[in-house]
Amino acid sequence: MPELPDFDFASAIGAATEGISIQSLMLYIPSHDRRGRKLAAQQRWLDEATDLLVSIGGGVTIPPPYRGGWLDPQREETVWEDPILPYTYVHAERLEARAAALREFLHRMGRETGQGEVAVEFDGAFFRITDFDPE
Amino acid sequence: MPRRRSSNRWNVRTVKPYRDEPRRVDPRKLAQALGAEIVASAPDLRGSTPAMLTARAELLHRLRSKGGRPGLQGATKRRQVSFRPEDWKELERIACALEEREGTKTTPGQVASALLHHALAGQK
Repeated sequence: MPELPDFDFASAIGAATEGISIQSLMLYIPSHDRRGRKLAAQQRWLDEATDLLVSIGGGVTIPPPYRGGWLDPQREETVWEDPILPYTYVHAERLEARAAALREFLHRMGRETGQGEVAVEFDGAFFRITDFDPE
Repeated sequence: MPRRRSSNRWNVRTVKPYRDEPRRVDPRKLAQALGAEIVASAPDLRGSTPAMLTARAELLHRLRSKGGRPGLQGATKRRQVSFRPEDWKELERIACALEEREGTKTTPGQVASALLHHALAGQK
């Protein structure tokens, strides 16, 4: 049986074949601290996050805030919040070059906004940061 | 005879998003660089049809390996069934995609069995 040729989508639509991004990076920008108190500075953290994502992927998308809840084991209560999840499709080299800056931002956000954990999604995997670097 | 690629085991024409595989960042290395732990990884279900998702769930639940190709647990009756050519082609495509994406070795017949089981369960 003769082998059928594959169809190359990128070439068919005339897309650049160099620098194709296939991995997405999504940050969770919290709206509340771990005790359920609303943050006054969510927009400031979002602005900083989007600047970072633009430098890593060349652009950013910001969907509307999501509604989410997590169980606070100490108070045995669900804490509700409205995180904003900006994301970008990364350029591998730029992500590697900006990894230290990304780490500094995520740990500082965790410390200064009183989070129990900071979440990141990358390439279909869910990352959790619970031990924040000291100042 | 040259060995046929596993992705085209059923000689199904595929659409490739790009010709050359772009460079990737290893998520484990990024986790290390960020001081993070990876707690979950989602399977890649992009472009999956409802039939593929149904077959995937059923097959992952029922496929049992005893060495070689895994058998479909509970599927003990073997019968000859006729298929429309286009339906068989679609079953081949789903089997091929499941193997390519998840390494689940399966046959078009097993995909048909899984989908039929699911459809009949929905009739009860």
